[in-house]
Amino acid sequence: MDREFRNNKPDMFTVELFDATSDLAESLAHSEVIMRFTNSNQVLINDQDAQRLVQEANELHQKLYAKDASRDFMRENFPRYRELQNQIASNPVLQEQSEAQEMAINFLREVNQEISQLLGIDFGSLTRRPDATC
Amino acid sequence: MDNLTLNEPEVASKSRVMEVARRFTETLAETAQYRALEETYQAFRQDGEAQAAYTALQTKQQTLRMVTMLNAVGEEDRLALKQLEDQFYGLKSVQNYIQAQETLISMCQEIGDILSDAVGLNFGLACRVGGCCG
Repeated sequence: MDREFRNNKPDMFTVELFDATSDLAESLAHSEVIMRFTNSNQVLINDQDAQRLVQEANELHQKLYAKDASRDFMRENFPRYRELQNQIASNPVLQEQSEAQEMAINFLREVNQEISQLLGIDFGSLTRRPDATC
Repeated sequence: MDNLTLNEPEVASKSRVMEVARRFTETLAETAQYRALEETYQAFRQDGEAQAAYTALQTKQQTLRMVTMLNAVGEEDRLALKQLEDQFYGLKSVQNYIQAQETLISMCQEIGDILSDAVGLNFGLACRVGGCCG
């Protein structure tokens, strides 16, 4: 295994804990599921059309659901939003990214379950910072 | 061609990831921070005064649940609740347990950051079933 996750040991970590954490990080990153997810993100980054679709849909979503959105605006723009949603749903790059992300999340939950069962505490909830967002 | 093969990352099988996760858990469980949590929890459970204060606080909170939800707690009840909270959180075994929890959480958040960087997803949020990641 390489050493890509072995920089900057936090002060409160023992060497053993840092090594064990780095090993886990490396094996997760090199698992088939996470590699598929990472690859799908890279393909998406290189696909400007797919990115534009997502960006336009997100921007329109914000405007449609804004408190000050008028009924006329909603009536005029909702068909376009639906169209964008359909295009997103049928875009192979976005479909793959979405599916790969779902599988990655399920995999991380399985790993967390394994750790949590042994610890007797929900490990994932301990790792969560209060201000964390997706 | 040989160079390409050499540069391909090693794929970690699911069983390998789970094995590394179990080793990580063993190491985490051996840390001073995790042992402190176990020890302070046992001390808290065996502290009769703390258990009584905990029961009294919980009982009062349950009694006031509806009015608390309606934001309609009266002054007398608010003071009584505050007194029970002060009694509970003022106990040494409770303070030690909370301190140990906070220390372990800080460490686990650092672990979570490392895992999140490795997988390209927020580990704690991904593991939260029913959260914003699904």
